Order: sequence, then structure tokens, then C-alpha cells
Amino acid sequence: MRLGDLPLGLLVLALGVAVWLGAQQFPTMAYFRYGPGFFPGLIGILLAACGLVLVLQGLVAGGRARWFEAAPWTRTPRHLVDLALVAGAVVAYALLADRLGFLPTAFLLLWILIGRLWGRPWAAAPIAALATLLVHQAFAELLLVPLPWGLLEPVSGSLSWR
Amino acid sequence: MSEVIAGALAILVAPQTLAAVLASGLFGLFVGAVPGLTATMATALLVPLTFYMEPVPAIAAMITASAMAIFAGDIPSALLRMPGTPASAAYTDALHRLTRAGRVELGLGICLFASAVGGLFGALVLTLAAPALAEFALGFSTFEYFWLACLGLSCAAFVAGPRPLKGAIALLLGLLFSTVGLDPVTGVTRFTFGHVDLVGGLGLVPVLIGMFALAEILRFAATAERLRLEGRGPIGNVFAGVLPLLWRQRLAVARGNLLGVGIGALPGAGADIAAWISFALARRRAARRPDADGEAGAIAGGSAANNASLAAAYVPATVFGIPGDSITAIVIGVLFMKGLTPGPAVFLHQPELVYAVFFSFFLANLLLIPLGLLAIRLARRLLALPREVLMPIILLFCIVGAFAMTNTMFSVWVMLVMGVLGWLMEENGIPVAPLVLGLVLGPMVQENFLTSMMKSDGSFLAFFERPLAGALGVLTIAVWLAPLGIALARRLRRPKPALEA
Repeated sequence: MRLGDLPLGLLVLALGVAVWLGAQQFPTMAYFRYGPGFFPGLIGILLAACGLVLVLQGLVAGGRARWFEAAPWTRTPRHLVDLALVAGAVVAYALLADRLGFLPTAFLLLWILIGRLWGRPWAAAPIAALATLLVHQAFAELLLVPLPWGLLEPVSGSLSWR
Repeated sequence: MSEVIAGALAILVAPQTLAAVLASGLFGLFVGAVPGLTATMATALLVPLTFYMEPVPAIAAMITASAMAIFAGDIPSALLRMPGTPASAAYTDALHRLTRAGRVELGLGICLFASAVGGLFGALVLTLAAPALAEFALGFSTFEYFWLACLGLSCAAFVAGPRPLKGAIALLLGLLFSTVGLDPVTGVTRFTFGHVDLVGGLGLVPVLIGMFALAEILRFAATAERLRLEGRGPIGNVFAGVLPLLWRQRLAVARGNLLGVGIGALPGAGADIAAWISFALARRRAARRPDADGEAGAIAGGSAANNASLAAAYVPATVFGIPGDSITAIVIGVLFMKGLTPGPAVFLHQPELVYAVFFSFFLANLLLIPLGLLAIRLARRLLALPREVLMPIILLFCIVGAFAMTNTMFSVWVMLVMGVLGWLMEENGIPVAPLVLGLVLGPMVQENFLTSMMKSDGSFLAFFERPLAGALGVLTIAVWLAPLGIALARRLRRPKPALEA
């Protein structure tokens, strides 16, 4: 997904204006001109300026610069599914881990991802299980990161060394 | 002085430090050798772990991992014609030609020893130059620091890619992200949209992991093709003939060292650019004076330059707290999290700490030879590991690493958003490194500006009143105006061919 200079510039311009407007809402200080809104306001103005230059460059380049150029991966369904799976795995983890627990969630996600990318779903299962256990050992047991237990809460005592 | 050095060595040889260095060295070799995983990614993935370490082992671990990864990037260049890290891209084709000619041992041997020599030279320059510069920097006030930070950020934006404008946009985005949360000067919350989790800011770690690790995994998912290994059979003795060849090409190696150090010390320009320039110059020289192993010399120069620049990037990082590349930006972020502010004061109050960090460069580059030999021996087995299996495991590592800093799912969301943003930015030719530099330096720019303004009663002119601040200010403004000047010069030159036609 590659945007031309014109749409990209418009996007940056809009962001800059929004940031500047947002910065105007911050309270001003009674005895000091440079309150909390000064810096974000400056960033907003500079962003808008960069966006404007990009828009102008896009206009000067004219017909040659297209609005939008599709990258190769947008034409191969395999890559699209892979991309959605990788991003979806993070979303799924954030939504499910507290309820299901780290061990089941991580295992399932790894199994699906490795199985799909590698194309060998059965060989992927033991690898996913081993990797999940190793990450759990390193972070939960060694570094004491409170990874969620979820469904396994009742038996967590027998699954932990501590 | 000798007490300081003894103290630094004592910190460095502590079992905890040595264990961290060894483990991170192996980790760095592995990450560097897998195409698509970069040295910056190795450093970013270490950040959640360094949270649980003392400052010196933490920094030493990151230094070792990045040095090893930069060398290990040469291994898939030789065997797959695919750079393991962007820093090897400059001489990948040349190195692969040596492999095709049946000289894979020679190629990898050159890279290994030139990398170690470059790294050691960089460490030497760092150890000698940084303390002297720090003494000079003790006289700096908030005015100078404001300009230095601006100068560093501007250079970063302008050298990051072919289009400075896009670098500037990335930089401004980073500065914008750094304002999210509680304003340290006035205590007002900014851009939190009523979200409690945002009051503390976005958090450096989830942003780093998202931008440097998740974005790479997304790119892999979008472009993955199966790799094919070049050649067969075990890799033989890499020592054979390497040292005499490097001696014949000592000038090329020395030029690589010097270029690497010079480019590395510049804010924003890192190992990749050092290797490109060094290799290109050596190639041109070799073309003028035909030489049987001129190309091997060019590879040695490039391989030395990227390792030398790695160490030199710590000169501005330790002296001024201004990162020279994205790896030192991460290291500075970690130092801030540990409550240490890099700058000349650290040289004064905790010299052992500074020297221990410097010495860990020597240690890392000496360790590079045995560990690098091991990596070369295992190279084929290492590269046979399917990336399709590694990437999901690294994804899990990213999720847990982002979560580990705050123990909230919010960090995982931040990492996801930043990963997708980082990937989209790179897709659209907007470099990611200036964003991270802006995020790390944003608070410094802002605090120094506001403190200076309070000192001067709100007069802008004060930024030019001190001689040093004035010089730095003029230099910064010159850097800002440089792209305009270049564009203008091009426009003035263009009409001529048009008239002829």
C-alpha cells in the first residue's frame, strides 16, 4: 500500500492541523508564555508545513504521481491472509489472554501461525508447545512477570516452581 | 585514573556481567544471522530483559548483541545473497560472488576479522575521545543542550533516507508521541483523550518493540519467499590466507575504520550508511588500480566500517546524551529508565560506569572471534531453521516483552499500533529511525527549551548570546536550510540542458 505524495501530504497536513487545534485547548499559564500547549502547537505547525510541501510536490509532479499504488502483496491472497493473521494474533492475545490464560492462548496462536506460515500444521504443534513453555519459564518464572493464568488459575500452583 | 580503570574492570568481570555478555552475544549472532531480523531488533528485544539487570550488564548486553548481530549479518550475505541486517547490504553481492567462486571461507574470514578490527578501533576512539569531549561539554548550559538536541534530530531526519522531508515528518511524529501524557514542566496531561493508561505516556519499550520488531514481522508476512542456500558441504578453515590478505589490504581496512568512526559519530547516520560509503569508495579505488583481491579489500573495508561505526555512535550518546543511531537511541532510553541521564556529569561522578561501558566494547569485539567462528561453523544449520517458525515465536516474545514493562495489556495494544504504523511508514518510504530519536529526545528538547526560556525571561535572543550556543544555533539553522539550498541550486542548474534540447 503506497500512497502518492498528494494523499500522504494531505494526511500529514490534516494531522498537523488537528494537533495544533488540540494544543490550543491546553490551559495557559498566568506568568509564562510557553505553557503546555506551546510545544505540541509548534509540532502541529511544522507537521502541517511538511504536509503542505508534500502536497505541493505531489501537485508539481502532476499526472505521473498516482494517488495510490498497490504493493505486490495486495495482489497475492496468501500474503494478505498472513498479514491479517500476524496482526490478528496480537489482537487475539490482548483480548483473550486474561480470560484463557497465557499458556493456552500463546500455544493456540503459535500453533495457528506456525502451522499456516510453515505449511505443516502437525509438526507445528510440538514446536508451539515447546516455545510457549520456554517463554513462560523465562518471563513468568525467571523474571517474575505476572503472565495471566486465566482458566488455569486453580491449578497454577502445580504448574509453577515458585 | 588507574583506580577508575580497575573499578571499571571489576564491574565488567563480575559473573553477572560476563554471563549477560556471553548470552547476549549468542543471541545477537543468532538474530543477526537470520535475514529479516536486524541488529536494532536484537537490541529492542533485549530491552524488557535489561529491565531486570544492573545498568552496566544491561548496557554491555545490548552492546555485545548489536556488535555480534552486525557481523552475523554477513553470514547469510555470503550463503544466501541476502543481508542478515541492513548494515551488510552494501557488500552482499560482492561477498556472494566470492562464495560462488568457491571461496566462502575466505569471504567469511575477511568479514569476521575485519569486523573485530573495526569494532576494536571504534572502541579505542570512543575510549580516548569521549572523556576529552565530556570535559569540554561540562561548560554547556541548557542553551547548548537545546541546540545540540535540535542538531542531532535534524541530522537524523536528513540522513535517514533519500527524502529529507519524509525524515522530518517521522521526526515530528516522534516528538509528538513524546508529548503524550503528563507534561513534566507544568503537570498538565496532554493528548490522553481521557484514557488513564496514557497519562504515563506511550512508554518507550512498546513503541521500540512495535517499530523495530513487530514491523519487521509484518513485512516478513507481506513479502515472505522461501530462501535457498548457496553451495553445499561444511565450511572449512576460515583462517587460511585471511590474515595475509587483510595485511595486503590494510589500507582499505584502515579507511573503513576511519570512515566508520566518522560516520558513526554523526547523529542519525549509522552502520548501514558507513558500510555503503566505505564499500563504494573502496570499489572505486580498486577499479582505478586493478588488484587481484581489491574486491576482497572492499568487503573488508565495509565490514570494518559498520562495526567501527557501532562504537563511535556512543561518542555523542555518552557525552551529550544524543544518540548517533537507532541502537544508541534504545540504549539511552534504557539509561533514562534506570534513572541515569547520559551526559558529561556521568563522566565526572561515575567514571567507572562509563569506562565499564567502553571496555565492554573491547570485550564484545574480542569475543566476536571465537563466537563468530562458532556461528560460521553452525551457519548452514542456523540458516536451515525455517523463518516461518521463528517469526511467530519472535511475535510471542514481542507481546510478552511489551507486557512485561507495565504488566498491562495496554502496552500490547500500543505495540500493535506502533508496529502497524512502523510497517506502513516504511512501506511509504518514511524512515522509522528519526521517529524513535524524536521520541527519546523529545523530553530533552522541551525541558531545555523551557528552562532556557525561564532563565532568559522569555527572550529568544538568549539562544544566540553565549558564543558556543550561538555557533551551534547557526549550525542547526544551516542544516535546516541546506535542503532548500540544494533544491534551489538544482533548479538554477536545470534550465541549461533544457535550452540545449
